[in-house]
Parts: sequence; C-alpha cells; structure tokens
Amino acid sequence: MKTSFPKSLVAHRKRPDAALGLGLLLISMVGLLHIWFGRWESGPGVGSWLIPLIAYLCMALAAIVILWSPLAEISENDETEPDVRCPVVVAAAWAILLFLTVLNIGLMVGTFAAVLLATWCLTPRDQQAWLPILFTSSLAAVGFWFIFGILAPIIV
Amino acid sequence: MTADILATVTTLALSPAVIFAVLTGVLLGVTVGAVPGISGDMAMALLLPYVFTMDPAPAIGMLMGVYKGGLFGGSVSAILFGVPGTPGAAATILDGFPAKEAGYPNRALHVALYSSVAGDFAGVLVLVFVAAPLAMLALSFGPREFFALYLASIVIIAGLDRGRIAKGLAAAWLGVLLAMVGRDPFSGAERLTFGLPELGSGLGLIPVLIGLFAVSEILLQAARTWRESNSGKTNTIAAADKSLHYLANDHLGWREFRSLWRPVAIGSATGTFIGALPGAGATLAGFLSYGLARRASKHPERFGTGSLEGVAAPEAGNSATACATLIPLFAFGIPGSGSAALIGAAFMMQGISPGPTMIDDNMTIVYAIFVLLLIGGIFNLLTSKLLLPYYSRIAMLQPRYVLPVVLGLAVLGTYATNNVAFDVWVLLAAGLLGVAMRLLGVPIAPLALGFILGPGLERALRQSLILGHNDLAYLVASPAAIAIYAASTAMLILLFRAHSTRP
Repeated sequence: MKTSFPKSLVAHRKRPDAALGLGLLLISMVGLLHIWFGRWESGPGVGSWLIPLIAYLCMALAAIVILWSPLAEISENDETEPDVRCPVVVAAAWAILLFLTVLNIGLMVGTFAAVLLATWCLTPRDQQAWLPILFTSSLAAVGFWFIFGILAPIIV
Repeated sequence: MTADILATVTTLALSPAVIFAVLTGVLLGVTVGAVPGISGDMAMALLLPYVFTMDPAPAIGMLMGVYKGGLFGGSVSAILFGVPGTPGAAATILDGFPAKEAGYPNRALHVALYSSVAGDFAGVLVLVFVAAPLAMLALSFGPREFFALYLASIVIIAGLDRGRIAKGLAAAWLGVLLAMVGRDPFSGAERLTFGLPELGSGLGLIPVLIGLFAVSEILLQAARTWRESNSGKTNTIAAADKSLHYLANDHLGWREFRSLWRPVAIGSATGTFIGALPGAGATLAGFLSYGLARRASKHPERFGTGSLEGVAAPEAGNSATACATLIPLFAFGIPGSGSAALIGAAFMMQGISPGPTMIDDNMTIVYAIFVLLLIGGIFNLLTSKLLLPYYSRIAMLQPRYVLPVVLGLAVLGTYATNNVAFDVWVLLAAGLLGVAMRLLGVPIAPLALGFILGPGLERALRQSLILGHNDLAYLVASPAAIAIYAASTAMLILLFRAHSTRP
C-alpha cells in the first residue's frame, strides 16, 4: 500500500532527493570516465580499478532509483525545519578557528577564547549572562589543559 | 594450560586500571546517553583518539561501557521528557513517558534499568557461547566465502532502512570508494589521491568515523541551537516540567519487577537475535520487543498508557543488542552496526584484526573482554541505581554549554592522535559530508560500514579472481558461498518485514 503525503511535503522532499540523485549520478559518471581514461597501474590479477568501478556503477544505479523511484517520496525526514546550512558552515568555521588559535596562541587561552565566543553566540540575547559563560569557558580551558597537557603525555 | 589462561585472563580483567576504565566508560555512557542529542555512538567515536593509547582490554572495556551505559542512559530522557536520549530508546517512550505523566517515573526508570541489565547479560552470554564456534566455522572459509559475507553484509546493512534503500546502498558504496583512497594493496600504486601526498596512506579511520558520527551531529545541533536562540524558541527539555519531585514518591518492589519476567525474557531473546544480525540494531530490537511483549501480555490494553511491561520489553531488547552485535565482528570480522564498527575500529587501532583468527590469536585479551562485558553490566546496575536521581538533572544540561566543548574535544583529540593537521581537515570534511547526508535523509551507518569493510571486500574479491583465473563463476562455485547468499536473502526479507510491521 502506497503511503500518501501532503503534496507540499512531497515536493519539499523530492527537490533535495532530485539534487542528491543528480549529484550521485554526476560523481559516478566522472568516476567512470576517470577509470576509463585515467592512469591506473595494473597489479596481479584484476587491476586496482575493479572495486572503484563496481562502487561507481552501484552508486549510479542507486542515483537512478532515487531520481525515479516512488520510494523517494517515503522519506523519514519529512518534517520541515529552518534552513541550517549557513549556521552549520559557521560552526565548522568556529572549529577551524579553535584549532588555529590553540596552535598559535596556546591550549588554554585558545580554548577559553573560542568557547567563550561560541557559548555567547549560542545563548539567547535575553539570557546572556557573563557568569555561566565565563564559568563554562574556564572549565573547558582547564579540562582541555588537563586532558591534552597533563593526561595525554602521561599515557603516551 | 587452561588454568594458565584463566589466571592470565583474571589478572588482566581484574587489574585496577582496567576496572577503572570500564567504570569510567559506564559512567560516561549513561551520562551522555541521558543528554538528548549525544548518543553512545557519538561518545564512542569521540573516545577513539583517547583509547588509541591504552591497552586493548581497558580500551575495549571502556568503549563497551560507554555503549552499554548509553543504551540505558537514553531511556532517562525518554521516560522523563519524552525525548529519546539515543535512537535505541525510541520505543521506550511509548510507555515510559505516559508512566511519568501518570506519576510513577521512578518505577519506570528502575524497570528500565533492571530490564536493561538483564537484556545486556543475555547478550553477553550469547556472545561468549556463539562467537567462538562461529569463528571456528569461519576458519574454513576462503576468499570467495568472505567476499560473499562482505557483500551480503553491505547489502543487508544498506538495504534495511525503510524508504531509504537506494540511499543506503549509495552511502555504503561511497564508503567503499573512500576506503579505496591511497595505495593499492596488491600493486602498491597510488589511486584516487588527486596528487595529494597526505592521501597516500589513505583516509584515517579516526577522523572519518569521528567526523561522520560525532562532528556532523554536533554541527547540526549547534546550528539548530543558534537558530533557536535567535528565534526566541526555548529548548524542549528546558521547557519541560522538571518533575523531579515525583522521584521520592514512587518505588519499585522486587515482587513487582519479578512479575515482569515475561516482557524482559521476550525483549532479551528478541534483542539478542536481532543484535546478532548485521544491520538490524537497537531501535528495531526495541520496537520488535515491544510489539511481541504486547502480543504476549495478559493486559495488552494497558500498553501505551504507562504499562511497565511496555518499558521492560524495549529496554531489555535494545540492551541485549549491545553484545550480540559483536558476534559477527568477532566471528567474521564484520561489524553488524555503527557501534560495532567503532569497536572494530578500536580493535584495528590496537593492532588486532577482527575476524575468525582473532579469538585464537588473542585468546587472553578476548576472554578478558568477555569478563569485562559482564563486569560492565554490574557497574551499570550499581552506578545507575546510585546516580539515577542526578541523571535526570544531567538530561537538562543546556546544549549551548555542551556543544562547543564536545566539538573542541573532537577537533583537538583527532589532532592529538598523530599530530597531523591534515587529519583535522579530513575530520571537518567528513563532518560536513555527514551533515549533508543527515539533511538529505541518507543514513550514515552504511557509509561507515562500507568504509571499514571496503579493504576486506577488495582483498577477498581480487584473491578469488586470482584463484579462479578471472572466472566470475568461481565466486558462486562453493556451497558455503551459496548458503551465505541464500541465508542473507532470507534474512533481508525477514528483517524488512519486521521493519514494515513495527508499531
């Protein structure tokens, strides 16, 4: 029995599914062309291209099914949610910032500054209070110093 | 000889450092399991760089402690707030949250704890008695039988998610493809490295697994928390009724728990069976146990209204999968779930290859791990019983304080493993890939399993083709291989039906 979804919801899911299918198909095609025209050194028995070839073919088949199958409509993530792509990129950039500050400024100061910035940004404006944010940042800095500065050299 | 082994195993398993590692793992597991959004898998992935430096027994003991504790911890927020701390606790909400609403959360939490421990013990016993004979059987397998096993596992694991079969298969083969990056094991030539010398030795297991399981989830949660903080919405759990005052008023008696033996037994048996099958997992085990217990109950009409039977069965079911999921890993070297993949990765980092020869080659370590699994269950019972009132407070921790610290641990922990900055870029790339997959509804576990199984699959296929002089018919010219293909097809149909009929 086919599950029925509201039209708007199906449209909402089908668009990313189409993008996913097309993306997978594109990767598979480029990969297959790379196997066909690329420089693959041979070894004993079948070449090192065999599993990549099978993987690309299976991905291409899956992409075709995603693009055309009615199964694409029955997705478990059907609830709509606000667009989180931009904040995800910002969070990843924060991770890079943390890494670079720790490398260049030092473990404790870098951690303290990065965690302070993150907790401040994640706290709703009406609940922003310095004490819990400073406490969390200091705790994180001391904890990281203990794990990476004291504990890790002992274990290694 | 046997006495010598027993003495070594006992010394190894009962040394204070090892016991401390298991205890820490259990405490950490229940704690992170109680916080919605931080699953046991995420915690295990985050721990990988830290257990890398430990001996095998405490390392695996700690990870298993996290896994076991996480499975129970997930039920704390499921019962108190109606939000599963881990996916495995989803079925516990059906009766756990109504039980809390009806005014007896403490009884429901204790039923969940005792049932969880009972299910866990059943899983350990089955692992101890089944893994070794299966491994002996697997010793007679050649490359084509292993190819059949690897292929069947990838298809079963990828194909089980209802409505996402094609996406699961695509993810699994993408994982296999990522495992091909680096040197070809047969010719030594580099492939898919795009001229980057850092990729010559392939993508690291730690950054890829932490990125997929932990970083992707943290990035998404941080993004959602940021959106919520800007839109003025409050966190579901923070906004929930903090009904801790109930905890002092209701108690679970031994007689009452004993009357729940039937759902506990059903859950334990179902969870053990489901856990031993590749790809099925704790969530399915929980729902299936719930459905079967309701069918066998004298009072099925009470299910959904706060029935303690409805709490006992899924909790026993999901916890029984914890050790049962290690059976295919120990016997064939095939991780049956995302969690088993992380345990398998930990074994590989310790220089132990999961597979049929693992038990023979590392007998004392493996048997010490068996003992530690039992000890972990006991610790889970004792510490959780003692700390249960506090776990409900932990479940109310604000994500805005937890997420930056956890992401920092992931980044610095990955870097600290090899002191290579490239690992951090791989970690973030895997994290962003995981985010994209989650947003597009593509399951993550098949990709991780494909990544782990890829090298074995390639080795088995290419060795088979060398032995069979490139004749593909050689791959199916073995009764054992045919039996594996037939059994996996039957299993796939069985599990797919179980998924389709879950309540």
